Amino acid sequence: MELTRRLFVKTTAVALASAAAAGTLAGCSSLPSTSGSKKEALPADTVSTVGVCRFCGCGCGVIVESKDGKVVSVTGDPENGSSRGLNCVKGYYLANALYGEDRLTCPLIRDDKATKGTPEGLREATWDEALDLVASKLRDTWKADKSRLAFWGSGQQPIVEGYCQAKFWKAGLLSNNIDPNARLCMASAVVGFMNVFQTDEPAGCYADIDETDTFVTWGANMAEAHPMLYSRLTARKLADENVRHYDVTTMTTRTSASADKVLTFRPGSDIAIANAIANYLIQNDKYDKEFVAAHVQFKQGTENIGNATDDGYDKSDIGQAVDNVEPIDFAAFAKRLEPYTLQYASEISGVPAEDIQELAEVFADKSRKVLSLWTMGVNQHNRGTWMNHCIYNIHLLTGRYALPGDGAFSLTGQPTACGTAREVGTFSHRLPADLVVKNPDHRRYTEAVWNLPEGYLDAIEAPGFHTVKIFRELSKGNIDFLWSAHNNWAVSMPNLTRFLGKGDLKGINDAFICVSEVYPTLSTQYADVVLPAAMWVEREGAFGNGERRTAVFEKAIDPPGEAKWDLWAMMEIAKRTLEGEQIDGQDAFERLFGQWYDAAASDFKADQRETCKSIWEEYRTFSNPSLNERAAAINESAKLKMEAKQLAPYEEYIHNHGLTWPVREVNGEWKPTLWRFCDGPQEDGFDQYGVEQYGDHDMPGGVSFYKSADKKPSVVFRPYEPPAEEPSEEYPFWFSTGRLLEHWHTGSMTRRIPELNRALPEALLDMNPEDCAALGVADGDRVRLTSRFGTCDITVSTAGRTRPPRGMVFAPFFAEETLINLVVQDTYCPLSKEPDFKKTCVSIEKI
Amino acid sequence: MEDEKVVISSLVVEALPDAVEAVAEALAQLEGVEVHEINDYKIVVTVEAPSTGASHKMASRFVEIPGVLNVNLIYVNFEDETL
Repeated sequence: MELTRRLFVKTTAVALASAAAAGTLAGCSSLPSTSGSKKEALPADTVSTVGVCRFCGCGCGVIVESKDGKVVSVTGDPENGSSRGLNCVKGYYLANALYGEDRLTCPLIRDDKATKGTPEGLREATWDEALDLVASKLRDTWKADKSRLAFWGSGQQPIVEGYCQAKFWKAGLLSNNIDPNARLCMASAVVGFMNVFQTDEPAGCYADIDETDTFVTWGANMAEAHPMLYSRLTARKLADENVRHYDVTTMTTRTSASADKVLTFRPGSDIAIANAIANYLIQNDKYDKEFVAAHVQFKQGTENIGNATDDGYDKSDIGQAVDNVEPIDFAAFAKRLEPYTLQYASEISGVPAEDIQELAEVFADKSRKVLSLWTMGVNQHNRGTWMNHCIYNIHLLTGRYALPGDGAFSLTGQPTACGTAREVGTFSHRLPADLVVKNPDHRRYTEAVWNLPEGYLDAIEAPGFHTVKIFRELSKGNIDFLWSAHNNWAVSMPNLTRFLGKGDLKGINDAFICVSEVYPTLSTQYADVVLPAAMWVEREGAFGNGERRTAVFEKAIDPPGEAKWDLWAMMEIAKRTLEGEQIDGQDAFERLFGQWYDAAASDFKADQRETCKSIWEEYRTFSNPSLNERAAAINESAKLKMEAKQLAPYEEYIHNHGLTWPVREVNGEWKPTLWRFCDGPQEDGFDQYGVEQYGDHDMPGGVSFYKSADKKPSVVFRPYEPPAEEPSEEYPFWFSTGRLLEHWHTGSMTRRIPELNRALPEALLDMNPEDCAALGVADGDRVRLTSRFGTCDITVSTAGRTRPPRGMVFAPFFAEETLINLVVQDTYCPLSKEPDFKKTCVSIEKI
Repeated sequence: MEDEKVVISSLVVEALPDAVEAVAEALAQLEGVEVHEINDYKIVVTVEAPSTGASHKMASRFVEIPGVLNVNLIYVNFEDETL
């Protein structure tokens, strides 16, 4: 770099960091826009675009600068309300993730299925050949038996792409065999939200972190998995020495470093602890009676539900009954909790009774605010939905929900698990905007927005295959066509011993598998066709992050080689698959996608900005029924309250660098909502218009849960039931898996970066030193990890990132050469169908 | 000098309040690291290194300094690497 340029860049760097240090870290978002000064720093041929980080669920905003078709710098975007100018150190590699040496730049076809499971066997092809092949296989399967096709999507698929994918699958193919990898991370949170509040959304926002007095992390390693949010947590703690942090966890992690007290519990016993806290609050008359009387209804549900390990579980009598609940009164609820004394919970969990009492007292003290935060320890749990319930139970009993700094916040793991998987409905049981396939009113409403004849969607009344079911059926030879995008199932699914067909390759070899990807992965090794995708800012897209914030990332550069926007490939496959089909006497493809796509020209009718905007406008109609007369009438007659999740026009998201929904139009301006259901001025982030339209003012706590049945969320008693398997003589250790800072998910992007890979080159098995001594193994030794499900070899570490207690071990899941998911059980929460990645029982043997 | 490849980044390092001075001193001793400003418990630094990898490696070492709580990346320019 030339000296003058170097000085200039450095001056810019200092100015930006100085502004960030002055304004944003403690949470007061007063940082002035830097775009003016930045623009002066740019050479004339440099373009600055607004983006969102590609990696985790935090959804940090970034400003991307590019020159000559290459990204040249990345800056934390101070105008993004989620991150306020901050990035974690993974931000160094946002651009490098685009430029890995083995980027896929050409469609690939496998002619010989015998080469599946190896890096060999894929040859280059033209787009036409690849698309014709994929579409013909999809169409053949569809015509023959549509239960034998599936799409597996992602919490990383941008919003309009997910929306079109759902529309293609549900309206075009009339199939519900579509599910996202969000099933593996957020499904328990989703079912919890629906059961408790009848709406899938967190009421709070990231600003709660800046306003609370006490943090309670439940099964969450934020320091590794949500670095930017953890930074805000520690900043808040530093700003006020009275702020406390309780870490409720199965092992010591980097997140424990900021904790005043770490409550280390036996895996699966968190429900006993939560119930003991609720019981203590009631027994000692330390709950919020006024709030409970005004806002809460009590229930109990089906119990002794066993474990969803066997294929027949969902259709079994108990599997069919897991969603049942019945109303009970407060006295009956209290009675159910009575067995959960501090002593009993201590016996089950191994946490000292006085520590549980201390945490209960934290919730009892109304002079302080309490914020619960949780992630995969709670969700990837054989009782994941129940544990979500139990956390809300404590917060609702103490009147701590939907208030600034005083709430319960389920953190998401992927950049658009909320925005795409959940909000546009790429689940096997859902339609866009919280609507579900089994509800006739919801189908009518969707038909109205999609301009389909009334009753057209009755064909998809029954939910399709959830994620685990898709891969179980694939391994049994019952899937003929699978298409996956924005995921890497051959590394991330549990029980890969079964799903990758070790010993019997029949299912996975016989099926036709299409993988849309940016790099070769283990999944592409099983693909019959690989479609090279444009990545991140190589096309325009939008993400919806964990705090209901929708943000657009602008196209900054072109994709390499022949890599294409996924949406283009999807349109071409839909066009070919639906050829000759009609809806209501009109060409089916034209009816569904003709407003954006010119089938004859094989291209979009407008540029990417206008295309995204046009698709968004149709999607936005779901939450703005007044835009569609037929939809408005159904919204009115069926009391769907669709405006409750109102989204703004597309360009508002660009101007504002993201907005949190519901976004309300006030005098021509679109105003976001930070604290959902909390009465107060919209200007200050409160839910003024929602409460006015559907709820009640002047309620206890100043909140009104207008989306819940009878405006009262449900406190549901959920008992402690043991994990699917417990340590035995044969399998004496608990085995938990998870993510670590350097590598995002399966490492398909982050492992392309040599330095990140060097920083964390291999998946290590973190062990307790005493266990190592007892087994005669030392740091660096290779061991064989074996469960009832499978086996893998791995290197032992006693100096790893996590510090498990005796009897427990941990390994991250990013490394395909270690492939720890060969060992992990595919037992899932019976309600959410989300697998338990945290409690497989294993033996450890030195090799 | 003019042809040297350089990646320039800026970070805000958060430190325990009673360790801010010591942390700033330790940071300043690292190669390519400059401390520009201390704002309460937040230290503004730049890293100049030959690659994003070397920059990341350096920034990743910050957490090993006693008293460092968080390392926030604010800006990174890698035009010498991608252009």
